[in-house]
Amino acid sequence: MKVRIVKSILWFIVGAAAVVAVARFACGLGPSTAMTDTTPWGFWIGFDVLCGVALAAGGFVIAGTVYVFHRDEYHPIVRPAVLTAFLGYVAVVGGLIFDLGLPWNIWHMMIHWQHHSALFEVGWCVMLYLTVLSLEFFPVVLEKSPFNKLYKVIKKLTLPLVIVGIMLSTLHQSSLGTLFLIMPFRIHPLWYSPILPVLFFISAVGLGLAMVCLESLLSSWLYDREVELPLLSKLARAAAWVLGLYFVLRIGDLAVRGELGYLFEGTWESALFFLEISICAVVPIVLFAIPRSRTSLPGVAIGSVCVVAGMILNRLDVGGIATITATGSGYVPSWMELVVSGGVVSAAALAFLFFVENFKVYGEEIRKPRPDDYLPEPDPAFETRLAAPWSPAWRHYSMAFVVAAATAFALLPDDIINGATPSSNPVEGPRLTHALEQPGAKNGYARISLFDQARETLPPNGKLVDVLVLDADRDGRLVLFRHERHKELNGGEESCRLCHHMNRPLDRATSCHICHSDMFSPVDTFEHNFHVRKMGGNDACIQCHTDPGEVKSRLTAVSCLECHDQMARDGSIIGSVDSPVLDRAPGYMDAMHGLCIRCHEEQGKGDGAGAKPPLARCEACHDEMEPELMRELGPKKHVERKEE
Amino acid sequence: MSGKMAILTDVTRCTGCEECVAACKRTYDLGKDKPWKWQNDITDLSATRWTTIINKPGGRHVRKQCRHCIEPACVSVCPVGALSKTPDGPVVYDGDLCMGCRYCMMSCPYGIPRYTWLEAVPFVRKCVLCHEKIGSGELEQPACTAACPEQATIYGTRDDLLDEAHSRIRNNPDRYIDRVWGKHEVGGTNVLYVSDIDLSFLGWKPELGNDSLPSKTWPALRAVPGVFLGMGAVMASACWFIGRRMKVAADAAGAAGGAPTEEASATEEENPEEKSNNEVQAK
Repeated sequence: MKVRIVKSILWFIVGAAAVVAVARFACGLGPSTAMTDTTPWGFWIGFDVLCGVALAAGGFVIAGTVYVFHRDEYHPIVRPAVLTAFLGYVAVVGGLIFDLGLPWNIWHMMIHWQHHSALFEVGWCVMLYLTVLSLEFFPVVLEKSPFNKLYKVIKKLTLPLVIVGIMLSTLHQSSLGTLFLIMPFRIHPLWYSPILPVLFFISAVGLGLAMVCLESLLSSWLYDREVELPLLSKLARAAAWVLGLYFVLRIGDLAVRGELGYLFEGTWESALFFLEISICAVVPIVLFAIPRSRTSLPGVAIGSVCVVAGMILNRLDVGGIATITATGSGYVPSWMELVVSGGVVSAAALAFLFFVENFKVYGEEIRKPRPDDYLPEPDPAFETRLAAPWSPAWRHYSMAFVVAAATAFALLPDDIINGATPSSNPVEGPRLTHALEQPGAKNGYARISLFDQARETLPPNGKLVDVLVLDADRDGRLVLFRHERHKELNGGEESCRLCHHMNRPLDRATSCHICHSDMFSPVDTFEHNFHVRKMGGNDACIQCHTDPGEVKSRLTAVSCLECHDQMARDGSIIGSVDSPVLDRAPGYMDAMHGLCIRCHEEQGKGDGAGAKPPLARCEACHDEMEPELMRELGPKKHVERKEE
Repeated sequence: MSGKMAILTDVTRCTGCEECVAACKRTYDLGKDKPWKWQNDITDLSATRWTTIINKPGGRHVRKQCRHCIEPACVSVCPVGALSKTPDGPVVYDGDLCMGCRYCMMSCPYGIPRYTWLEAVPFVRKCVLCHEKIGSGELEQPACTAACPEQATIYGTRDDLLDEAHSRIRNNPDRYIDRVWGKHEVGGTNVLYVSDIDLSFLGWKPELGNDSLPSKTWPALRAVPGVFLGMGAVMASACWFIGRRMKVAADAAGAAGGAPTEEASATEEENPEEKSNNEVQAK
């Protein structure tokens, strides 16, 4: 029953991950993860890859102990350790497939050799070590098969395979640390160190030992096996030595580099460091060093859990948390990243349970749950069992899977379901400020511009007026709105209701565009009545609508150019931007941007004679676009990366 | 084309008109910047904005773009060689090789490479100094420097531009800080700056040092073959040595009928177990 519950939970996580996996590959990394340009490595690298590889270190540690150092008392745990390592590396590669932008190009590493890249080395080592691990584990599968010869050959290769496995593990466990040597500017000095490769390797050995303990305890609990406590105590004692060495190196390294001061700065990083070092080293060293706690079940269990949690925290710190201060990144993994990571781990765990149940992984046979275990109670009325004996287990698993998949699907964000849409800038309510009003050169219209009282002097013909700053659109553009002027022009107090007709709940003031609708809309400049009058009344229809049989419409009439042949001359830039139907003139903005600016740009390209380059630049017209002032007034969306 | 091609940007001359940004966008058809959830500031560099203007207090405008380091970290970390440093100076990117690990983005001391996060088939994007277009003769110089109306950013060989930068500082010592940014940092860059304000905000840390970044990784990577073979040798000899010692001890124990050492006795006890294990497995 325990097994079934655990498996159902694992299937549940896998089900949710399956849906997210589809979403991630269909929609890309942006919508499905929280990664950004400043945080290009997230949870998948930090947990799936860094922690995954480190957690799988038990394989080479135990295999080495048994085969190289001839400590045969550990023989019973070689197989589970190797199996965990194998599945761990498969999970690492699985997690990496999700993280890579172009995972189908992963084989490029095999042909484009880049020996100066640490990642290239890690990639090769993981690839080779995965092969070694599968060969190491293969005999367990072959045992039950009829391929006796193959089994014997591989069995003979065990020792060389183990040694090659240790060589490869040494390299890539440490090279994961080398990955971060190139980022001295991102990683906080408490974590960045030139000996990161060494620290990564030693901690992986300690973590491998603890992981083997933990996994042995878990499988004992799950399958009601006897706990191999004496063996685990020995592992714990070894782990205490390794972790002690790690602790000394870690602190010694800080001391040698002269960075010990960071420990007592009282920043959140120093607190994090203390937390990390105490979970991953201090507490387990104490627990594993005292013989009484080492030989007790809680001592071993708590110690191993501490090491595992502490080292995971360490890898996450190096992989991202310790870079937050430098990059100012606000990365928090999205739930989809967490679910995918969980799904990969759960799938590996399910595979582990499958191998444990079907092959001789542990010394004694695991009692596999038999179909009888799941026999339903007889129906009280008819005294028959109303189900096939094996169905309930699968029913549980598939139901967990489907329910999780459906839940995940329901939770998928809009960006994934409807396609990604740009997020909108925050918009704030109107803000009151002062602006400079100057009479315009023509028409008597007043010109309003932003005015910095501290730095500029008031021009003689200008005066300061109150204006409201409105967020005009969601791209950060602002409008200076003169409330008084609007009131004046629209008829005083009576005009309030034109905009503020807020008599219904949730009603809002009328938007600017309700009145100022002509700003962006094309303008109809063709006056039909005028043309009719000018050309002689009804007799003139035929002059434009040349075919009497056709419906008389804009589309069937002749082009304006037929008469107005001066409208677009040869080589005219204006003509080239005109719409095919020449009866509509562009709107104000389109006219300025599409006609005037183009022309001035063309003119401005010359050698300087007659060139008017400044007219082609935005500031020539938009002189109120003063970046700093606009920014100060704008919504407070720009969080400065660093204090200057 | 002689020497390594470079760009010199004079912060005191820049008016912040963003003609360079517009020219870059036109040349590579980059489209509009939009606020995505992975980019909260659309005026920062992005996959659609390979160069940008950072406005600083006091009306200063600083152009940000790829620095085209002489010893680029991004090139050294790329496991598939998608990024490369051309002999002319630009650091260029080949999307066909890329596998999307984003290590280049992590390693850049200036945080320059950007990603097309929106795409299901994403690529790295950054300034390439118009390398291809200059090579094919389509452009004489990068679109940005050609577009600058104030000659605030100019193109030329690195040596010439260094001379120019120094002469500008010499002729106008009051106007400039006596420093050419990019001359030495992280081993030197092909994009240089002279300025009257401190430009250290362009990197992740105020002082990036003069060592090139690949030189920080190389000692560890150089040790790889040695560690690999050394570990193999140590393990093989340990295996042989311990095995031999145990065999000798077992023989002695068998001959003398006693237990000379504690370890040997342990071995003796375990050996039969191992044998039986092997037998079981062989069956």
